[in-house]
Amino acid sequence: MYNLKKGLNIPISGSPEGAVSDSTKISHVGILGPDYIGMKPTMMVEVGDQVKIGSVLFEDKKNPGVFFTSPAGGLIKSINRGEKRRFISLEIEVADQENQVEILNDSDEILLKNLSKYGIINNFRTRPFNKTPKLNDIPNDIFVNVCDTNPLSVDPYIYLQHEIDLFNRSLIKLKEIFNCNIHVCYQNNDFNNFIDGINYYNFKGPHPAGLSGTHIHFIKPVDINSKCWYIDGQGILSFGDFALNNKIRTTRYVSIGGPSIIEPKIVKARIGSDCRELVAGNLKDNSRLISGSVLNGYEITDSLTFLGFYHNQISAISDEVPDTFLNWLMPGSKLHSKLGAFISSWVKPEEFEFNTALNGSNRGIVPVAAYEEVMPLNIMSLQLLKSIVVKDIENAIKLGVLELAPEDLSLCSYVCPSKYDYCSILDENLELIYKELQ
Amino acid sequence: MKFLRNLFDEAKPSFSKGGTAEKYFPIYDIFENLFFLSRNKTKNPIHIRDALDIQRMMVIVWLSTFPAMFFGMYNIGNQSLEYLALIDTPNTGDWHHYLVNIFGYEPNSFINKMWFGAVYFIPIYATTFLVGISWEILFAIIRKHEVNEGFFVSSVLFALSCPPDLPLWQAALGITFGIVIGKEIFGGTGKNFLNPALTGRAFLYFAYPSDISGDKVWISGLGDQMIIPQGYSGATPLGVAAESGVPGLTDKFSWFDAFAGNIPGSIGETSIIAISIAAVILLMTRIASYRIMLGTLLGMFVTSSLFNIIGSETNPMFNVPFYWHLVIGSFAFGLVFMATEPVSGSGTNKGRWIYGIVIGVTVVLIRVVNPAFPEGMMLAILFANLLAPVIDHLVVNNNIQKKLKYREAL
Repeated sequence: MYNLKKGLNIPISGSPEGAVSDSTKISHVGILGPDYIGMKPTMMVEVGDQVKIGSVLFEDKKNPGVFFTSPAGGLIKSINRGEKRRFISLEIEVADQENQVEILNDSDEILLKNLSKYGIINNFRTRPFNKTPKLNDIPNDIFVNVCDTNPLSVDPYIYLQHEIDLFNRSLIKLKEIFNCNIHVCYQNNDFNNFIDGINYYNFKGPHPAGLSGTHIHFIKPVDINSKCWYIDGQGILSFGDFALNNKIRTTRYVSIGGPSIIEPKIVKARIGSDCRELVAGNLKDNSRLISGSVLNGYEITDSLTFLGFYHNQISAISDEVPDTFLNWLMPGSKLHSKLGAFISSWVKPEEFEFNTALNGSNRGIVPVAAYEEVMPLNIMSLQLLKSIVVKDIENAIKLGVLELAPEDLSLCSYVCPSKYDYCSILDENLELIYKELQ
Repeated sequence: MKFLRNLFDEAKPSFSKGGTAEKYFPIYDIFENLFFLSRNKTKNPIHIRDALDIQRMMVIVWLSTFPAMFFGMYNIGNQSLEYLALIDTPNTGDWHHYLVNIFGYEPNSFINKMWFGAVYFIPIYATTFLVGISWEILFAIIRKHEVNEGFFVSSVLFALSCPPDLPLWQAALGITFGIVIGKEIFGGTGKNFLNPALTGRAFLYFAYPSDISGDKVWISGLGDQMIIPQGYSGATPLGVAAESGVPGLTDKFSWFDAFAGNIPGSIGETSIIAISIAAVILLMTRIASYRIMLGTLLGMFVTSSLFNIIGSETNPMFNVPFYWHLVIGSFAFGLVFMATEPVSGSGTNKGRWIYGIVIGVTVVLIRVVNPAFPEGMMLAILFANLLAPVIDHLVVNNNIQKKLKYREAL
């Protein structure tokens, strides 16, 4: 058991709880480009084409042989591109009657090939670099994450236990086809479905105890040569449905919460759901809707309206930033801070209503204790942050940058009094390192 | 408040990109930030942020110097009025005199003492502040970034570490050196490797030693009058200790006097009580590192005790015990305000312990075995500032090696 002490559970109001319900009917689903790091699509469909569940939509130009397939049956409604024709999203209008393409995984060899052909492999990501595995790659370790410590998240075991049989059979199948170490990390005390030949670890403690990056760091830290993949519990269900039932899974459990959500809840929604449809009537005015967590997610805008492929939650916070007069003098009983600079650290309200205020402006990095206090990994956080800011990749690699994904640095960004965004900076550094290696 | 907001909103376009005064945005920014929190919003992928920003952090440090600042002003008046009464010449001899005269020279009046101190301290602080912020704004305009609030702290600490009689042109020169050479040429707050306030102070110390060290500068008026009554000395306890050791110290001052601050010295450094209030604020808000503070205390305690054990017949400083070291000179002031400056200090937790210990050891070494000058805190901290990158390098390398070994063992 790993009992982590450092970290931070941000006390944000609007936590979802209760039983899982079905979402309202979703009429539009989408696939988002930014979900897949470094992916460049070669389109195989056009606007106006009819597709089935599992129809090939595009191939990754950078990773030939890995395809992306449709999560729904219907009509290709639009393909959105941004600056320099960067792929942003592909939108599908869901038909009333949906069919799935024929799939037959009748041997392990065919199954391995089909994982790439039907895009199921995208449920896995590699560490280092957090990309989809290359075609025909075989991992040495697969980390399965049955934890979630993000703000406003729910313990994945709450919904996975309804399909625990499928989950377990999927793990066995996974072990069979890849013949590698499988590490399952969980946080729930009731988790008791242990299978021979698979490693189980219990992680306790504040965020980021539930991130795959944390698990990998403590169990088997990666370096440049590691063949390590990670996947979350829901990804395992997608894999299992495909491998065992020849079925492409179209749903995902999603928790909806935050101070701007009227009724926080857990729903079973379509993969790639239009987030605005999912929260229709359940969202306060003047709010920012976020796919993913408030620490690692993207704002829902007109061109990015869909639930991220790897996201298990939708969050909403107030987008109104009130004018604060003489902020530097105010006691701040309603403002959350890791250090003790506000009266809230002493009166300790249970929950805070967060909004989208940056609470300051950009300044040079001043080494405060907070960076170390939120970093449970054995990483020299301040030195790492400084080296990625100046893009000293050689030093950053020595300090362990390859073990990280942007989400692992989100708490460092949260507490930063100089208001840096280390997550995006980390992304740029990893991309730079990846290019140097090619 | 609404009126102010409107005023800023009206002025903003001319200072923003494309406006007529675009270049001078940092000036607008200082004033807007002074009154209102910036309206900046979070961006992908982090949508909420901790409420603490650099401005709030620096203002807390700034406010925490207030007890020492007000006590300092009181103490200037207290020490000087007593001296002036003793020589019976209620005239400090320069322009301060006209201002002091408003309330008079009554040595037992609290108001007179405070006023006397204010007349001496406020011009120093105002000069420091105005000259310093002009440099900050100049660099901000040229470099196109915002003015960093760290300057509030540097300026007040610099002013508090000066003797009360410091000529104002020296204050201007000192803070100029501190801000420009100690900070801005390296890129501004966050990139400086020396403590800017101490850099400026050290510059004055070596450039104008007669105005900033010795026995005559700690009592306002003493330097001008040069009348030294029988049995009177303006020397600081540290100077006394260097001359005649503990017997000399206890002869002139009680330990509690030194603890409470009723002694001559730099403006802000005398009262350990006032400095302790700041220490409590800085530790409770966790803005200062307790590791550095404890490390420094530990280093000082061990080294001074070691000297006590060794003993010396010719050097009286050998026998000064740790509890005297704590209350004399600028040890406490440097410990709480200067050593804990996070940017120029060590940036690793283990390193912070070592960094603190280095300061504690060095300060006693300089005080005890160095014949040239009795005060060691300023130089000890600057020395540790220089050593901090090396300490961090060793700590970080150690961490890297350990992780490599761990990975190989897997």
